[in-house]
Amino acid sequence: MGIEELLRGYVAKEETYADKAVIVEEGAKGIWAYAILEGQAKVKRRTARGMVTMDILKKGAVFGEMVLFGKEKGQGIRSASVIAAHGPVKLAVLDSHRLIQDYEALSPRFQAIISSTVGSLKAVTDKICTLTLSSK
Amino acid sequence: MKNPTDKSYPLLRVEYDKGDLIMKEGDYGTSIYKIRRGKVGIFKRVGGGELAIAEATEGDVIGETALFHNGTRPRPMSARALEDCELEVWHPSEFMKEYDKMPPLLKYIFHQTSIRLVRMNKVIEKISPQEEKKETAKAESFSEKRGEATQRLYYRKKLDVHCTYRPLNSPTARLEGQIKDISLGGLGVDIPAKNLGNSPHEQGKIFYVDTVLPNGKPLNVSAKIVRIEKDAQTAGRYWMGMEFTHLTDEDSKNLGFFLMP
Repeated sequence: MGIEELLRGYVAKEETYADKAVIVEEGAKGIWAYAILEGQAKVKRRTARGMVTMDILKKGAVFGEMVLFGKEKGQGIRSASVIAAHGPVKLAVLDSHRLIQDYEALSPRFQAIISSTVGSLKAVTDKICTLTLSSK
Repeated sequence: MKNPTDKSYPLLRVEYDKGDLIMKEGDYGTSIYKIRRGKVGIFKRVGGGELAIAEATEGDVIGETALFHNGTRPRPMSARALEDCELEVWHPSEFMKEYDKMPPLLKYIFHQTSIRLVRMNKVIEKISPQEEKKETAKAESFSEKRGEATQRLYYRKKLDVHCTYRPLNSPTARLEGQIKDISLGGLGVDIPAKNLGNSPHEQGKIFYVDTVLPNGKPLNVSAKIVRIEKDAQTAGRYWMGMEFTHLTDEDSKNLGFFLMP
């Protein structure tokens, strides 16, 4: 199943960001999750040694989902910045309401497993940032 | 019927005493645990020790990667009871039906998160040994510093690789040399005397240096000349000592690995 097909019925709107434009900012509040339709974006974290690129997202990548399913959901604080890279990027802004409905229809155990996976990813990424920071 | 799984599977509870190992990194475990009481520490093995990654408390779930891999991959981390704990044990098979029936987009997102987690676990494995190596480098540098012969701050490794280099402001220039030693602070390059005729090589001059380390990793750095002198053994050759002026995280990591004893 292609990304377009997967997203059918979930796209609230489409947005295009110019190269190097900040899509989500670490520490800011947000309720949207996004999927990349065209182009690329960098995931960056602030460390004592400056901004560090943690990942490069390409077509089909979903980001911003941590505020929907993470342990701290509801607070909606972005754990990383996502910045358009190597040219403009076209995004689908996902219908958070519908995604949360899907999530809440799962059994509490399954919800806990998803939430924990998101939490583990955050914990490991946080640790990587601390290590990067201390390794110079 | 919001929650059929809770009814169809018996509730299995286990208790662990403070200090007990609940999951062992590298084991092929299938259980997923929910903490009902107590605190659990998540650790990663690093050299001889352990690196604390996170703490989980009441209500948290640990070992959740077992769902995705169903015991076909080793546990990426260890978990140890930091207090006396009571845990609920879940088996991945109880979630299989629900997983199959999950809305496709949610499944897709969950799948992506799981893959990112596997990748980040690999990253942490890669960067952790560097910590130890830095310690070693520091220790060696101190012992070197105590010696009279050298004032070097970093552990230097001998090598013999070809490099190209050019002055900062001459993008088309291409000079050649042989790197003879390298550290996290700089490098020593053997160059033919004719290079000096092509471009000034005085102290403080900054060059871009391109090479491929013996471990196959490329290194593109800028470095300035701190010392340049005629090679005493070979006529027509000069030796220059250079200090890095800029090293990207990637280069620093690649170099770090190469320098590991």
